[in-house]
Amino acid sequence: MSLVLDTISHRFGAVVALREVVARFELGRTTVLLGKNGAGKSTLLRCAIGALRPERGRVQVDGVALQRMARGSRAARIAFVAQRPLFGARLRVREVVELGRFALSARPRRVEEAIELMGLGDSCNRIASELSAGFQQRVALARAFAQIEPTGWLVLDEPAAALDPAATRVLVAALRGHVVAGGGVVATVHDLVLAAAIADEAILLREGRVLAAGVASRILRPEQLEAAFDAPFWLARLGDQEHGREVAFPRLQPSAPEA
Amino acid sequence: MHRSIRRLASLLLLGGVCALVGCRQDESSADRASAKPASAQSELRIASLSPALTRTAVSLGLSQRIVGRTRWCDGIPSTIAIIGDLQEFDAERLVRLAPTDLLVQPPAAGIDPGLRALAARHGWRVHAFPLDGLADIDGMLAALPSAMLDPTTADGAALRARAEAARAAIRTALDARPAAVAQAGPTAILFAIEPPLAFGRGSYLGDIFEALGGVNAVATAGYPAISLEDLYRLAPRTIVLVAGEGSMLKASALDHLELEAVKSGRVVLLVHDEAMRPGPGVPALARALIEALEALGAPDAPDAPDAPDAPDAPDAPDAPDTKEALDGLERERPVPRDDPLGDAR
Amino acid sequence: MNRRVIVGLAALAAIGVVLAILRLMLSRPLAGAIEFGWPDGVILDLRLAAIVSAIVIGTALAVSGTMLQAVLRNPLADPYILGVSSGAGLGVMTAMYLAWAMPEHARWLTAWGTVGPAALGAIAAISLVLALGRRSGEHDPLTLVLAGAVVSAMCGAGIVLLQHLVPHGLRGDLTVWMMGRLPESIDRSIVGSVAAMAVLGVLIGARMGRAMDVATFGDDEAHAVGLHLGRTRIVLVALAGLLAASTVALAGPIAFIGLIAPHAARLLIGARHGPLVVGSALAGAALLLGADCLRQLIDLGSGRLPVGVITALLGGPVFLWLLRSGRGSA
Repeated sequence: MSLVLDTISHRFGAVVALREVVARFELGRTTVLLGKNGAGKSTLLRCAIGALRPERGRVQVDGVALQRMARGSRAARIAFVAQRPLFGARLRVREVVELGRFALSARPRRVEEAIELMGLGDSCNRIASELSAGFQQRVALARAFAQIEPTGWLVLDEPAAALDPAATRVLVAALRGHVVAGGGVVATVHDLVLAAAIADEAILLREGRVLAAGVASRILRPEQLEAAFDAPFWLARLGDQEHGREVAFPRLQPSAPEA
Repeated sequence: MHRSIRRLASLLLLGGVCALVGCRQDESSADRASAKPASAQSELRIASLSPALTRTAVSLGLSQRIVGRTRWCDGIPSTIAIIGDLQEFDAERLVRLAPTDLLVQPPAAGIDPGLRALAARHGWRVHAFPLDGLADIDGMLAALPSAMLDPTTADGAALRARAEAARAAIRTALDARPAAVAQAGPTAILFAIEPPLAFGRGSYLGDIFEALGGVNAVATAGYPAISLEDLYRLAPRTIVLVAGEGSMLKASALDHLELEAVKSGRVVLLVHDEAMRPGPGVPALARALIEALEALGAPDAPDAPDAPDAPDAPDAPDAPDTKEALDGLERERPVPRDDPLGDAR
Repeated sequence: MNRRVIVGLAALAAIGVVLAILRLMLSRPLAGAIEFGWPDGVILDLRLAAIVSAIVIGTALAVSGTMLQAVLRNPLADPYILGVSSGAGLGVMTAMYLAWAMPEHARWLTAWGTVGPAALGAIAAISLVLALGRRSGEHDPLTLVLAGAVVSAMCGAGIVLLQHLVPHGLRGDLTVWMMGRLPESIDRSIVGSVAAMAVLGVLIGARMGRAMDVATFGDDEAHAVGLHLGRTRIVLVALAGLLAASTVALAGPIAFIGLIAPHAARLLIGARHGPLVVGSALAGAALLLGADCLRQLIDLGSGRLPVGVITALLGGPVFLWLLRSGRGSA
C-alpha cells in the first residue's frame, strides 16, 4: 500500500524544480522530507497530492494513476495541509473542518473527533480567519483528519511551523495515532527535533534531486545533512541516558560548546 | 530643526518670487492686448470655438471673415481650418491663423485660463458668451457687434443694425400667441423617455414655449428627470418629444404607455438641430415648435372620451393668428439673402 | 439548515416584503408632500413594475457579488469588478455613435434602446477577461482582477474616444445612462429573461454553495479536498458575469448593491455560501427596494435622482458600518 512518485521531473519555465525524483511513501510509516529552501520539497508535495501534474513521470496510489482517480476516492486517500492555510471567507472552525468532507459522505462524528484531536473544542465556533497562525494550522490539520480514512496519507507542508511546543506535542501525538492506526504521513520539516520525533523514513532533497533516502536514523546524521544543507551539523543527545537519543542539530554558533 | 525652517523659508521665498514674476508678466501682456474694436469689417479675422456663435456670425453677414471653426460649425466652407471645439482648442493652429477675434462659449467653470492667456499674449479680442437660455442669446446679440466693430464706423453701424434686427425678430417670434400653443394645454416637452427628461421652467425650450403662451406641465426648474408615475400624474394634454442631433428618439416611443396624450394621439416629434442647443435660430425653432403642435390639430374637449382625432386634420381656417404672426415676421424685417434666421429650414 | 439560517432568511424576506409594501404605498409627487395610500389603475401598474424590477435586479446583483467575492477570495469584489459595466458603457456609447454617424444602418441597433448594445458590450468584456485571466493555463483570482482592471481601462478609453467624435449634446446621454435607473415600464420578455437568470443564479449558487466555500481555501488545499477548482472558477465567473451583464443592460450600472448585500446577509446568516446566496438575493432585493423608496421621497427641487446616485451615496457609510459590525461578531 504505497504512494509512489516514479521518476518525477518538472520545471517552471527555465527553473528545474524536480529531477527524476523517485519516492515511495508507505502506509504505517512517517516519511519526512528535508532540504534547503528551493530544493523542491513543496513541488514534490504538490505532485504527490495531484495538484501539479509533473512534466515527466507518474504518481500512483497502490498502482492506480493518481490523475485517474475519482475526486472522492482521491480525497479519501490523500489529505493535504499547506504551510500557511488560507481561509478566504469568514467561516467558523467547525464549518471549515466539515468541509474536509466536501467530496465525501457526511460523517459528523469524524468531524467532532478531528476537532477534539487537535484541541479545538473550545474554539469551534470562532471565525477561522481571525485565529492566530498556530490555531489556523490546527484547524487545517483537523480538516485533514476529518477528510482522511484511517488508511490514508496525510501530506503536510511544514505542519509545525506556527505551533508552540504544547501544540506540537498534540500534533505529534495525533500523527503517531494516525500511523499506528494504519495511515501514512508525509511531511516536510525544517525542525530536526520534530523530524527525529516523528520520522520513520527520511528523504533529503537538493536542487530537485534526491540526495539520500531511507530509514530516518541513518539519514538524519550530520554527514548526510551537511551534504544536503551546506551547513554544519553536530550530533547531540536529547533526553536522559535511558530514554534519550541522538539527534543531529544545525550548528548555529560559530564555535562548538563544551561537550 | 533649524535646517527644516530654513528650507521652508527658502521655498516660500522662491514661491513668492515666482508669483511676482508671473503677475508682472500678466500685467504687461494685458498692456499689450488691444481691447479696442476694429473699424472695418475687412479687418476682422474671426476664429470661432462655438457652433452657435458661428451661426450667429454667419447670420450677421460675417461668414467671409471667419478663418477658424469647430468640426460642428455649419454654414461656412469646410475648407476653413478647424481650431477646436467647445471643450478644447488647438493653440498652434490658432496662432498660425492670426485671428483678431475669438468667439468662445465658455462652460460654467469659466473660460479656459490657457486660452485667455494665449489671447492676451497675441492681442486677440475674446468674445465669451455662455448660451444657456434665451436671455443669454439676446444679451449676446446686443453686446457682440460693438465689441467686434466700432459702431461709429459705417461697417460697425451696419453690423449693429443687423444684430438689432435679429433681436427684434426673436422678440416678434416670441410675442406671437399661436392658437395651436394655447390649445395644446398643459404640455410636457421631453427629450428622453427612459428615464423621462423634461424641459422644465427656465430651460431653453421651456422659455420659448412659455413665451409663446404655452403652459409647461413640468413646473420643476431646469432639465429634470422625472418618473413615469410623475408623467401620469401631471397628465399633460400634449406631449412634445424633442430630438436633437443624433438622438435615437422616435415618435412611437411612448405608444406602449396609457397616457391621456398618447390615447388621444397628441404626441408629436420635434426634430431640430438647435432644440437641445441654444443658438441664434430662435425664430426658426419657435416656428418648428408651432408647426409641430399645429400638426396635431385641435384637441378633443376633455370630457369626450376616446373620440379618435386624426392627428393631421386640415386646420387652415383655425390658425389665422399663427399665420399672421409669421407673415408679420417676414414684413417687419428685411431678410438678407444668406440669412439662415430668415429661412424656414 | 440550522436555526440561525432560517431565522436570518425569514428576517430578510420580511424586510423585503415591508419595503415592497412601502414602495407601493408611499410616494411624493414633484414639488408636493409625502402621500401614503394604495394606488390604483395605471399608477399601480407602474409601481408594481418598479418593484419587480428592483427585486429582479437586486437579486441578480447580489448573487453575482456573492459568487465573485467567493471565487476571487476578495470581500471587496462587486459585480462590475471584471469589466462588465465599462464594457456595457462602451456598447451603449458605440450604439449612440453609430446611430448618429450612420443612422440608416444602425436602426437595428437601437430597436431595444440601450439594452441590446449594453448586453453585447458587457458579455464581450467578461469573455475577454476570462480569456486573459489565466496564469499557467489556469484561472486565478489575482490575474482575473488584473485582467478586469485592464479591460475596464480599455473600455473607458474607448468610451472617451467615441465621446470625442460626437457632438456635445450626445455626450451627456451616456452620463445619464451610467447613473443607473429602475425601469418603470418593462418589456416583459426582457425582464422575464433577467428574472429567469436571477432565479437560475440563486438555484445554481445554492447548489454550488459548498464548492464556493472550498474555493475560498488556498488553491492546493481546495484541490486536495476534492474540488475541481478550474472548472468551478469558470462556471462561477461566467454566471456572475452574465448576471451582472443582464442587470447593466436593463438598468445601467447600479453601485454598491452587489457589494453590500453579501456582507449584510453574512451578518445575519453566516458565511456558508449555500444559504448565503439565498440570503444575499433577499438582501439585494431589499436594499434596492429601500433605495427606490428613498428615491420617491427625496425632492431636491430638480426632479428625480437616479437610483444609482442613492445607492452610491448611501452605500459607502452603510458598507463601513457593516464592516465594523462584522468585526465584532463572534
